[in-house]
Amino acid sequence: MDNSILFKNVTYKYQTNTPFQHTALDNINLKIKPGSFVSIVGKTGSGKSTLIKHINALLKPNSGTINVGEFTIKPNTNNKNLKKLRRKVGMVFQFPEQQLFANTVKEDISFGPLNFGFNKEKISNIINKVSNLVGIDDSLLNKSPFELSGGQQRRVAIADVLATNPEILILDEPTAGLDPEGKKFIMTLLKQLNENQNITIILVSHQMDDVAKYSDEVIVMQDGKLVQQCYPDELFTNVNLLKKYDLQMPISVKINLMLNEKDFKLNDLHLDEDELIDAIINKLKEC
Amino acid sequence: MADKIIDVKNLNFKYDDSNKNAINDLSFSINKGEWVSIIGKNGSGKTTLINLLDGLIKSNKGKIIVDSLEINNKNLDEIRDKIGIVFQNPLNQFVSSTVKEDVAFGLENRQYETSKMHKIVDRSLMEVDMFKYKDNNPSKLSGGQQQRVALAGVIAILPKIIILDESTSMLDPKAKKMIINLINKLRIKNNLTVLSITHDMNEIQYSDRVILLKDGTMIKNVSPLRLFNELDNVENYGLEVPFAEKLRLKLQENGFNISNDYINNEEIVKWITQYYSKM
Ligand SMILES: Nc1ncnc2c1ncn2[C@@H]1O[C@H](COP(=O)(O)OP(=O)(O)OP(=O)(O)O)[C@@H](O)[C@H]1O
Ligand SMILES: Nc1ncnc2c1ncn2[C@@H]1O[C@H](COP(=O)(O)OP(=O)(O)OP(=O)(O)O)[C@@H](O)[C@H]1O
Ligand SMILES: [Mg+2]
Ligand SMILES: [Mg+2]
Repeated sequence: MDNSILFKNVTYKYQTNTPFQHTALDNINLKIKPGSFVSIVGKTGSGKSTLIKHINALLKPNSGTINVGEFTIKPNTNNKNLKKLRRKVGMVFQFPEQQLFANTVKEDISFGPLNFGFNKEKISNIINKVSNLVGIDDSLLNKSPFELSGGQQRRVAIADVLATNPEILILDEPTAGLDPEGKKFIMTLLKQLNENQNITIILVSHQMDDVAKYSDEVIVMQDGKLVQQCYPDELFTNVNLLKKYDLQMPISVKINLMLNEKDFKLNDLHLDEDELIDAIINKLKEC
Repeated sequence: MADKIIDVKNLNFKYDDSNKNAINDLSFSINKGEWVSIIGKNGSGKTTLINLLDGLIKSNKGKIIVDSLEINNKNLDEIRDKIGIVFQNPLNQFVSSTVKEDVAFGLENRQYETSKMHKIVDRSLMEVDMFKYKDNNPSKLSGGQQQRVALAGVIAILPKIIILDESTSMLDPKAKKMIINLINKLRIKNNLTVLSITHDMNEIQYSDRVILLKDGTMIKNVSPLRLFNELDNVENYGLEVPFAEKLRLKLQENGFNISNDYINNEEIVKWITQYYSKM
């Protein structure tokens, strides 16, 4: 099925007709190809979380339309018709606690699959599978999700969504609060889901190293406007663009630039740290 | 002799429903004016430790002395007056329906006079770049904006001890740097002590000392420059080696003759280019 995502002239205002009215999305047009890995970046308050909440109709536009595969979301779209859309589009929120609700971790993860009418055995398999995928220890499964550490809660929130087997997976800063090893683990997991199961991944992140390494495409938000949609190397090799949008240079690009200035020039650009390290060592070995 | 502001001795804590200690025989002290980072895997006991320091939970065994006062049931208010915590999730922190009332909350509790209070609130909000949101509802802000409001609430009070529990995790790198510089400036000016829980390996470079926890036990208590030198197997602690160190180790593995000392980006670039130009 074609799971393209298409925004046409989408505008969204918070608290309309109050003194706090705020245009958080300003005439957004964009297309996300099915099966791609897209990162959304931009400063605090630029509209990233607002944008992604339109993809599963948690927020509906004040004007414009959003198409997600066979679904169309308009200002007057009825909430009753959204169940199937929400099954297709899984979302991990910025703060995991907002997502957790059940008495035990197990019940929290089962919620989605139960709703789909799966039997006990199948649900138990799913719990095992997804808790392994995100690194939740079995000893935590019978605990209350509210009696976990911040990083453990984050992992449960991701497991909850994976349990519903979405075709489009949206994650709002999923690695905030994870230890460095956990960060790498989750990013690798997302890449695998993307490559092996063709799940569309939409990632909101301030971690430019991850964005550069894992994504096929980058969307830059600024003051509610989409100001750039391009390939990661176009963005991260352009120092002027990074400055203009206040984005951090990935470490790989930074090191490459420092080496270049001192006349150590590599043939290719490596956005992946490990590839850069190999390239440096190979060049030193040659001489 | 340096002035101890926090002194922890043989501290133990177990959650009721658990069969093992979340904090395990921990002893350390922190001097007035220090910036100390607390790091360690998810679930290693970092948040539990600061909840003990602030008296939000009670230890099973051991002693905590904060600014010469040993924590007991009677002096909790006095202890809490000395400590300002920015919690891991800012939503747990907000108590008011406007940003400015929220930032004023701690000052009100400390009986500040109204006009002075307003001044401090305005200044604190300006310092975290959130002044224009002062009449907004704090729960109706973006994630990074909420974190900045939570920070403003603590810097308004200027407590003797500031504790940050991953308080900049949702900020963009520029805002993060701004906040770290701000807190550092306040620390130096007012001789405050800062305890910062973080997973950001760049951020720990700013601190005087790093305390590494694993399963509630202290593994290291060292300068950030020595941390990666002293650890054989960083994966055991959920850490990742910084880029320059990773490259240095890989060079060694490949038979290059490079020093065993911790190295930063500038230094490794210098080493590479010098090696290359000598060829
Ligand atoms: N519930 C709300 N009511 C009113 N305004 C809101 C609400 N949520 C967000 N806003 C405002 O809309 C703008 C965009 O917010 P959004 O949460 O989309 O930003 P963001 O890019 O996700 O930022 P961050 O990186 O800090 O999470 C911000 O200026 C914010 O103050
Ligand atoms: N309220 C609670 N009740 C029972 N167990 C808890 C509670 N809070 C935390 N724990 C458990 O205690 C251990 C330490 O948790 P803590 O929150 O201190 O970890 P942390 O180091 O802050 O981790 P993170 O980096 O994920 O925030 C974890 O195994 C956690 O599951
Ligand atoms: Mg956000
Ligand atoms: Mg914690």
